Amino acid sequence: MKQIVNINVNGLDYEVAIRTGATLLDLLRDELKLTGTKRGCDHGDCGACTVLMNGKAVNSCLVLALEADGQKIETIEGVAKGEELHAIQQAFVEKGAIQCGFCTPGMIMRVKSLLNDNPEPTLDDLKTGLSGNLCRCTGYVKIFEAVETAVDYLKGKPRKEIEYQPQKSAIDLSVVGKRLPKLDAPDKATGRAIYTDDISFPNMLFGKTLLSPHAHAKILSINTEKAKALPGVKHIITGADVPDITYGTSPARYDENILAKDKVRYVGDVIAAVAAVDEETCYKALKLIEIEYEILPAVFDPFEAMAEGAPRLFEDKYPNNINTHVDHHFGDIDKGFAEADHIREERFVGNRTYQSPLEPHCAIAEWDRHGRVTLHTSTQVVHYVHHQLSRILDIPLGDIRVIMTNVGGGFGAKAATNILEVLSIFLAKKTGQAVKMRFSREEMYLYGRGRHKQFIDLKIGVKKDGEITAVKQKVVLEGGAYSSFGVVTTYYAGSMLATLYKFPNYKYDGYRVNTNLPPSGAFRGHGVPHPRFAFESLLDMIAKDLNLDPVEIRLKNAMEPNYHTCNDLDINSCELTSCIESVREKSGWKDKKGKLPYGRGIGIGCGGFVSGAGYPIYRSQFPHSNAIIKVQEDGSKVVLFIGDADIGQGSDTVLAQAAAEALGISFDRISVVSADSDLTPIGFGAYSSRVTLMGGNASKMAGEQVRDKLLVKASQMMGIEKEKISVKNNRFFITTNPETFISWEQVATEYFSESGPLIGAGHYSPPKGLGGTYKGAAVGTSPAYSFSASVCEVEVDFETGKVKVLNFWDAHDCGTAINPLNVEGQVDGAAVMGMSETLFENEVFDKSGRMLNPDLHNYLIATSADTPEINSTIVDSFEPAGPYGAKEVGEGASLPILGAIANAIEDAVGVRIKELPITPEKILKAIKEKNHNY
Amino acid sequence: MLLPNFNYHKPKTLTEVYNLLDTHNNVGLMAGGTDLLVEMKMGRKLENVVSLNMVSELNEISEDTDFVFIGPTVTFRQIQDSPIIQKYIPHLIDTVSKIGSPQIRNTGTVGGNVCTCASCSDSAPTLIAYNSEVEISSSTGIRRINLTDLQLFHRKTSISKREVLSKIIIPKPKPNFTANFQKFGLRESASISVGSVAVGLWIENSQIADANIVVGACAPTPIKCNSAMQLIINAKLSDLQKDSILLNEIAEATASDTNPIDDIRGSADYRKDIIKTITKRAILNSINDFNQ
Repeated sequence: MKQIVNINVNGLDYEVAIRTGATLLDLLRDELKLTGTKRGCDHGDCGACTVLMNGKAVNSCLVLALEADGQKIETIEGVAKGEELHAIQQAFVEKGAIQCGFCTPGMIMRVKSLLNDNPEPTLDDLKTGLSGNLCRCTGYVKIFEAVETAVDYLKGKPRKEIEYQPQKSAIDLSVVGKRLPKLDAPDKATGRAIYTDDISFPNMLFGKTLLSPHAHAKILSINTEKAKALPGVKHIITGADVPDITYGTSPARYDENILAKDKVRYVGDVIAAVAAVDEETCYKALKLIEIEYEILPAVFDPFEAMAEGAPRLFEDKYPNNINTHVDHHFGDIDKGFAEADHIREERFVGNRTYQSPLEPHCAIAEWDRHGRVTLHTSTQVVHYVHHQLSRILDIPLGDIRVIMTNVGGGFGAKAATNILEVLSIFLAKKTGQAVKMRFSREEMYLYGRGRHKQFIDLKIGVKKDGEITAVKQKVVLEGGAYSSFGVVTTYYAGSMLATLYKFPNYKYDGYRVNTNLPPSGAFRGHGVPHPRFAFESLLDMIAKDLNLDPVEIRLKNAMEPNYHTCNDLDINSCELTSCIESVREKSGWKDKKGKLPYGRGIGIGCGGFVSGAGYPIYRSQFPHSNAIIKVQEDGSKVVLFIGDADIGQGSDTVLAQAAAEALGISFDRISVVSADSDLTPIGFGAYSSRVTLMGGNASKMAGEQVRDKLLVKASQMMGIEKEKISVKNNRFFITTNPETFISWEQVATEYFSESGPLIGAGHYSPPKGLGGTYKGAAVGTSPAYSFSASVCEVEVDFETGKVKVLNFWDAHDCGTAINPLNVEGQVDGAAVMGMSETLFENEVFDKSGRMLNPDLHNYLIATSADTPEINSTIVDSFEPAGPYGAKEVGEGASLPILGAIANAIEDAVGVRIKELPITPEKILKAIKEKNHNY
Repeated sequence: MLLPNFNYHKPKTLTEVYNLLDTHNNVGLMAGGTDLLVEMKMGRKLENVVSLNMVSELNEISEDTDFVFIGPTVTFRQIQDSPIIQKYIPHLIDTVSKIGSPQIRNTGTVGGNVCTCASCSDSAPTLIAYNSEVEISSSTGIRRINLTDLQLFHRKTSISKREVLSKIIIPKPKPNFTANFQKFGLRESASISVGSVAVGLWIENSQIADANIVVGACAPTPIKCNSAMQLIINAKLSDLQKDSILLNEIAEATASDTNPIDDIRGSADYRKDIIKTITKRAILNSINDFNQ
């Protein structure tokens, strides 16, 4: 059923025979191989596929290819003139408007059409005008700045240099501390950056999975005969065809089969996989697989699941469906509460949220004739995937190559080995062909691994002056069907409360409970946002009880440097106090708190996170980050090979800055190869906010090794002791006489000519012996901790309950910001994501465990129109354990947001919402109840 | 999911459309496709898709002395840019600017929005507030009905399978007409209505001579709230003030005329609360506009 389409794309005429069901997006990507246009949701909700049709922005996923017949289409590939970026692209690159880059092509196309219609848009025009293009990374703020800059460029105005006051710790540095555009930004701005789904191999097959329609059922039989007989089907595998091995994230809880063996435990559990010549055939084949089920009673509520007699997900483990139990007691809780003048206990409830990266997961596997397999995948953790595949396939690491392509955002959704990675390899092995597997947007939600919904009973005791004497927290985590990261999540939910405020007595009980829902996993802030929301909310309630200023009670208890917490965590640098003071000042707190008109309010929240986990997910003695630097023989360029993963957060750029600083070269002389298990030494990947500190230390060390080799050579060449020579800005010079120098290239060329390859290696392991000796003491340990404070101002429509966040004032202690532009981008993105989770996001299931909102139409995330003004500050700080004093920003910045918003709403309308998300309905109900009680 | 294949037809005239409808079964008529393609991706099966986009007579905005005519394939964007609409039905521009995203408005059509007939359709309440009619055509003739008679239930219209919506007909409002549309969604943009209210008022001698109060997303179709309309007709403008007793009564009546459900966007009770608030706002805004 193919028809001919004549289409003009970027000025070129094409004549294409295409199936009737193909969309314009399919035509561009699959037929014309113009893969710059991205497939994000396929339902017209995300805007990643935006192209211009006769000058108007359209979602190409909702235009039939046949409808584009005779039309003029413009895609991202047609925007730049050769190597010369369009003004919009240039502005996006310079302003840090690009992170993962997956929304970027669609966003740029939309901006182009918007500026055609309205060459001088106001900020409000941009907010509403870009609201059809979702971005999960940037928080939109830098995108607005980029458009404003583009408008200037289009009018012929020259580039404006931003005046920026460097941190004290960066004043003497020449590459670190600079606001440099990301290395990968130009490729992402032009659609050239390759994501996994952009790759296709000759003779490549597609794979698809059959998902359980039932929340809990025994599989009585599976018949694949009819499906196998369908023309185009190459292979089908079921549980009987895969090894009898379980896998997962944490070795203590490997409990997932590759394909369901005897039963299914949630709607979406994976039963079978098909490889066929195209996806269309895969879908047809899936419908022909016949399965007989015996439906089992299912349980969806963790409290019901724990009750005696509840259906059990696993017969052989997890009694009462309790997957993980943590029982921690530090100090003396009874004594602590006895010392308190005021005690308050409240129940808080979190929400089930999903990371919703713009890019759906995708993996392509191909075996060679020597028994080696290569996997291209959209992952945050090449190393863990590599390790897990070796375990599952029972072949050495050396026979598996895992290559991370560009990744369109992760936030934890791609932080573990996923089913596509495993199944594509099995199907590729059986068929002898490359196999591509990708999730649809719906499949992403069904596969799950989003945030655990937590039920939190929190009790805090304080002295009259607000000093915290004791904290007791009981958390029940809704775990879903399998463990995923859950063991770690359960520990984090407890351990991280103790890093922000000083308190000597703490009791934590955590229960992670299995339910017949998609598994919960690790999502930005891993386990901590809900307890932090609870804590920041309760602290405000207590402050109100005692007539204390919420800022003062935080300052009273704020963590300080070089502190050993009650749960044996060692805090090095800590500038929480200056963060709080900074946001108090900038927000005009004193003039606003309690003084704004009804309906308007202000609130504060604080947060902080680890700069990398102190221990790996599975025990190994490998350094956590490793780097190799290879210098070109003429010294003109260096390449940094690093195992850690840039998933859009900008780590390639940051690590290159750390390496360049150590090498003494300028930033234009370094490039990066990252996250390819054949080419780069292992790096644990992008999770637990670890890359800047750990990868940064490894990169710096590798750079220093090269520098030290060259210093010896320079000393010979210059005839002066090496101790008297400095290296900076591509020169070796006499420290006391900088005008006497030789060039970096000269020294490197000389070195190479004499000694061969000029290479440096670096590695980083956290200090030995971090943390205490109790069970679970490892979770929460880190070489360093970040701190942040955020003040939020809101407007609440008290007749509907709708909240509009107007402003965030954020201050972050990330140590030395290696790249302040990137740090701001992380803070903006974290603030808007945190706001979105607080106000909008929630996965909803029906009574049979089927998700009701598995799409971006009904699972709402913040659009540009919801974006508040964000004013962020990086405070002066220096972390001795970090490269050039740096520590994390990515996850910590999201933590203050939830509580800050809840507190601001309370200030605005006098109601305290303790259950996320804080919807207009909950607010209005509370207002009505409050008015009724008066 | 992947869009399945189908027979694709691209008629150029209405007669060709009639012909296709008369000779084919299981036909989906496609205007912008922003609803239809999503439905098909989610499993709706259609053997034939008939694109209306080459039928130029269906893509016109025109007027005569008494009416404005909008073709069913006119996009929301065309409405936003149309001088005729701007002149006679400005509230429709405000209304459609609240639908979907800019990209959706560039392809989505008012005809599609009306024919998809989702209870949460945003264009229908405003069109009904203007007393709009529709023209439905087939090889056997043309019939003209009120828009309220087109929409039978959530996703069910009175158009038979041999017919096509050929025009939306909006009476040109008299100078004494004023209107307002209020939409309540859960985020600032690109959100589905939790509830919406369109109000149309005819004002004579500082009194409401006639009125339409139409609520969306709170019943199987957008509905006219008759008991609320009875309350407001003949009301004096001076009695319709913020927090006035009458305004509250009208708001209460509007809410009780609706029949909302609990869903992921809100409970039935909350929807009624929202309707009360936005009804008042719509009435006050339309009076305010009239006075200026």
